[in-house]
Amino acid sequence: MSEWGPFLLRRLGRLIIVCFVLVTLVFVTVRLVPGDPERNSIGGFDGTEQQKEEALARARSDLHLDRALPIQYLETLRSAVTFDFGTSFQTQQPVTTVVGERIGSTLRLALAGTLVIVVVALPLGMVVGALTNGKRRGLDVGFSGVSGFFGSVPPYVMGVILVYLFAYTFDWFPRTPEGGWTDEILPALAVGLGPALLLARVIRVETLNVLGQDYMRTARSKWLSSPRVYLRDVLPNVVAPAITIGGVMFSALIGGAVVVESIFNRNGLGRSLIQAIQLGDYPLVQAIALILGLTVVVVNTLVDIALAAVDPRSMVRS
Amino acid sequence: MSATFGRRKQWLATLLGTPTGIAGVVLMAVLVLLAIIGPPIWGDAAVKSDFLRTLLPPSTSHPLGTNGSGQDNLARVLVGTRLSLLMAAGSVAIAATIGLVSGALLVTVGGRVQRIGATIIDTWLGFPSILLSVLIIAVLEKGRGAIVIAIGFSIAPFFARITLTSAASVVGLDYVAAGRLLGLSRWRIAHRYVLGNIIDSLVVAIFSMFGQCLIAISALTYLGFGGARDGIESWTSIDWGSVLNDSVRNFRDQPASVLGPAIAIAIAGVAFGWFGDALGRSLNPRLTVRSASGRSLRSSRASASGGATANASVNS
Repeated sequence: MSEWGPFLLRRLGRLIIVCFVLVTLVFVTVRLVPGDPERNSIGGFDGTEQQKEEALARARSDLHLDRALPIQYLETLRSAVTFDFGTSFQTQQPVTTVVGERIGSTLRLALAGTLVIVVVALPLGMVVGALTNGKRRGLDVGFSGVSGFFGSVPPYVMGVILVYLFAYTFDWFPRTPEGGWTDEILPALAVGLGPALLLARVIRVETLNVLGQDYMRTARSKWLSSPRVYLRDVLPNVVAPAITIGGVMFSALIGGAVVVESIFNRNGLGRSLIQAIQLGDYPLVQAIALILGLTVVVVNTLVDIALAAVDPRSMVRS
Repeated sequence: MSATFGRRKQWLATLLGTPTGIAGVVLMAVLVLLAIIGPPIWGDAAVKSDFLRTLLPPSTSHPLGTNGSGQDNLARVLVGTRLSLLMAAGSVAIAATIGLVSGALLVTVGGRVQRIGATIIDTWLGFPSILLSVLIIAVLEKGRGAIVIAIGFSIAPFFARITLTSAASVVGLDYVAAGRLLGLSRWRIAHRYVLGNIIDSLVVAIFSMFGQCLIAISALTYLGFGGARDGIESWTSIDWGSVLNDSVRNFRDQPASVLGPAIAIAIAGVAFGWFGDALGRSLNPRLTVRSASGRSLRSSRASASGGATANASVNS
């Protein structure tokens, strides 16, 4: 029990350091971009010379380019903490407003994708594991082939193929977002299906491991019913690997969202980041890169902590 | 002589011993062949515009139809093989070099520096590589070169992690201790004893990551980071990601055209992964035994995160 204090401190320390690194990375990126960031920011500005000067001045102050370098860095840190990144040049709205409007779409995608992963992977892995426990060699080979193949198809390709099949060939889902819950299904499958199949493979192996343990023989010999055995003895044992892989997959999900959002024409953070980079809208780039990066880092830390709670040995390993 | 031959035969038998191994070898051979013969054969058809025949549906003369400029979609996919594979090769080379050198340096220095380095590498690994790559591209300005460098840099920690892990497993062995007792320098031990032993894992990783890099690069060219199309198009600027971009934009008018680039990217990603796995089994049979026991969660996490981040990145 005494390991918890130092462990949490170490994790928290690492989290803080990584956050600093992230902010620094974003800070450096904006300053290394070729040309004047503030000129890139306003892009092809049309208006009078005076309006242009005003826009440039505002861009400079929003990006803190009008101060000495160390002050600029401190200002960027303050922006990161207070989450005030000034005005987006693309939309002329405060960055906070733009992010607020678009974060919902990304969150829905991440949640729905996670739901697909859990709902598909856990039952599939456990059922296939139970069915292939020393028998049905064909199913074993077939499952590992199929799951290996679809697990390696990247979300954006999966998305394109799903849209082709289920929105164009069969007219089951909307071709462009319509604002209803049906919008969420294909994108969620696109980001979730591949990881779900990979996770199902891991869960299958863990299920086999558990089924081979002595206490399972004991449980069986006591005539405990199968569903009860699976829920009570197998499930807790597959939780640790599921959390580990789940953390990795979450980061994959966020990365996946960046491209998948543009396949599905979703107005989310990932697509906004790509547009902002292409248009040189640096206030927005800073904000979104930080949000997405911090989310991943925080989730990774939570995964490590959850893992330690489920499997205390992992504390020592780290 | 015959012993060598026998071993080689056995090696080949392991490589081709599984269905996925055979599929991986065959598909990879087809892709490499297409990369070589594609542009000379279909290069003209891929770039020849015909504004009277735009967005045609699939037919016998255009199996995947034509795009908005009347160019043959299938020809563009076939021709795009070369640039897609070359860009992936470039970024894998960059990633492997950075990863191997930084990993080897950390092992050589050892101690506290190695622990800090390992933490940095793990954090870097857990970060979606697409996020890092788009930031790097923003700095380097759009273009294919920038994409190759960005992906190479974002995938590098994967190779560094492999170098660290496999080196750590060798360093504890008796003959390395013997070398140290003989007074060999750390660098010489790293070079002579450790590198020789981790080269297998590295070769396998290079092939596995090749597919991931290709997927990531195609995602970035799909997103339009490959640079603007200039006036006169030549086949040297066609890759699967840019073909996909074109097809997705014309999804409504000509849906079938997305199949070409989508399937090409998926197959390439899977084929190199399968080939890498088969190569791993034939180079190091112990690998299969160990993973079959399903014991080493930690190492599976490292490899999963490498794959997943690459996936993600891209994928993202």
